[in-house]
Amino acid sequence: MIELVSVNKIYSKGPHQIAASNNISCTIQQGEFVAIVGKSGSGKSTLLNLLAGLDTATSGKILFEGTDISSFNANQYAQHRLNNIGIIFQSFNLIFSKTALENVMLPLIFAGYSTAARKQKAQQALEMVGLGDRMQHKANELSGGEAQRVAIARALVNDPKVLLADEPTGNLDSATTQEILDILLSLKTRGKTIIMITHDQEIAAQVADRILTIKDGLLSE
Amino acid sequence: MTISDLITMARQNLWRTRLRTMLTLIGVIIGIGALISMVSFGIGLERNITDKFKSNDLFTSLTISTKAFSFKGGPRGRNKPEQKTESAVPLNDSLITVIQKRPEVAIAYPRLTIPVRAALYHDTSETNLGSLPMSMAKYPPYNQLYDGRYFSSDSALEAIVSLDFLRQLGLEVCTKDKLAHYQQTDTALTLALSDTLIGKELSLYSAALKSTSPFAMMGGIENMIGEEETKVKIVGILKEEQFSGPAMREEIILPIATAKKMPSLGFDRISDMISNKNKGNQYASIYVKTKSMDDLGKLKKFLDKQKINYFAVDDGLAEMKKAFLILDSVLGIIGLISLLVAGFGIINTMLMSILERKREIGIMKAVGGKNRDIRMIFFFEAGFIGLVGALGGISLGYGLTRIANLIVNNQYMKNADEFVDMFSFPWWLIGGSVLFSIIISLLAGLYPAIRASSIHPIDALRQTG
Repeated sequence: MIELVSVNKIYSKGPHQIAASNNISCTIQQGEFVAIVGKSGSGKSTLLNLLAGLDTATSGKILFEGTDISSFNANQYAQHRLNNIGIIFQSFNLIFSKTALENVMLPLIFAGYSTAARKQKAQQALEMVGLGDRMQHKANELSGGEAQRVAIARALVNDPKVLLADEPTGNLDSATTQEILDILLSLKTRGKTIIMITHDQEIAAQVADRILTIKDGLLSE
Repeated sequence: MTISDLITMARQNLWRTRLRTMLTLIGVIIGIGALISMVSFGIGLERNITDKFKSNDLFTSLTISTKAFSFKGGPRGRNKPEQKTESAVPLNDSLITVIQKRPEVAIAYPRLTIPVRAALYHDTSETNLGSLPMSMAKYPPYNQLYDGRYFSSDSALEAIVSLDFLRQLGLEVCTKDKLAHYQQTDTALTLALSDTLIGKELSLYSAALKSTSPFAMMGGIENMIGEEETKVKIVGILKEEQFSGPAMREEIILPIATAKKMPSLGFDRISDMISNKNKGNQYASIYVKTKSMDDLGKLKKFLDKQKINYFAVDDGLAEMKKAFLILDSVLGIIGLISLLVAGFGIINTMLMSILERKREIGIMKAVGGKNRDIRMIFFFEAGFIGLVGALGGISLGYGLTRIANLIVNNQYMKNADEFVDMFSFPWWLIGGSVLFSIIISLLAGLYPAIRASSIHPIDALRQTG
């Protein structure tokens, strides 16, 4: 489903060049739950940004269902994310001034759904993550676990093919971490392709079908 | 994204920073308020003057005269030596008949101006006497007299007098309902109720040629010219008008046949008298009223073709319109400057908003928002400020102009017969102000919107808070 072919991402800092992704090649199958494990600064978030189309590779190809997305422009990436990718961030990245429901409805606004349709879909997504009773709460009134569940609902609401989770449990306590992992596992059973970035080997081992390790921008199985 | 989504988002986002939004809005409101009140003043001034002209039918009338006049450079032909300054056709009854028969003409009659000495009670005043036919009764200002009525016939021994003429006789005239107001006014004139003057006899003394024989001349001018009295009854009093009808310079108006019968010298120059060149049936000017403004143009073409000199107020209309256009532009520019300042306020507000909402922009991009969507969100916010500011500005401008009207009418125009609205709010001004405010706001929002849309999502998502 996703294929990376000799992907490089090089940042220039003055005279120095830092390879955040170093000649990465790998393939991720549909329905797979892949964990990318690495320490802080290893280049795992850069890799997720490249997969999400939030950043562009310096060289190499990223194929999504056979289409090379590495040459997309900003609007094509946005459309790609809207149709195919759901992103879950470590810091939730919710709009605090909006309610849980409004946050979940946000991608549907860009997708052009009617008000009624987007409300219905957002409600379903929130109910699926167990937040049916917290829909009208502002994002800043939610606990960390609830906020992350809202973020998952938002990532799922437009029915993407791939879920990218960047340290989804990084800011959560162990009980809440388990709740979030359970949700992710349930999504895997529904056929979603999930790529999770984490620094925690145990979490990766608990949920992933396959673990990829990244170190200094080099990816290994 | 639908327009409805964009409007909702703009409203929500602006409401979130309501204090800053309000401060920005105040700038736009003041800008639009200034613009609309300035321009409405210019339009109001133009309307008041042109309406006055129109209400007195000055745009549908002209005066044929022996001498030519122009609004540009004095007498017509000054810069055109080949053009005659005297009409080629004599101004007599035959010409009146020809003109009267033209399809575009409603009325044509000779303007008789006779210098007279008028006596009412024991006071006398020297003035000019004019004349009007019965057919002018239906036209302003003669159909709306201050008091009394129009003549009963063309040959009636009746007169309509002006308020100015009565002032010359030491009388300040008022109607019963305005008596109390006039009693408080400090004036040296004797206060008189208008209805008490209606029906009063007015003696008119005009100069008449007694003899032009050489013997009479040898005996002195007093042997040649005498004074004859004509008694008429005052039947009406003219309203005070800045721009009145065809007999505007005359303070006493008589029915045309009565005026024709009045003894007068019948010549313009003393040399004519000596040479006995009495013009007889020839007039100094002829007043012509057309059926419409278009008809006036047709008549002017005919008169130009016949080389007949005329004076028409509408000749000055184009010049007047140019002057008003300049005035409106100057007033508009003053308002525009205020609005431009408000525009910079919008830019500042939007840029501040982008800084604060950088992370939000990143989130929107991460969930599928395109650059165009982000641009439109900020564009609509700017437009929303423009729309609400325009509505507020129109209300402010309207309110201020109403207050200005009240102050001016109550303080400086107490004696005016009717309330004078100095401002005009045509629909195009209101609609134009809204449109203009939105355009200025959108232009002001253009740079911030482009800047917001060009923010890299990763940079935006890194922002904390």
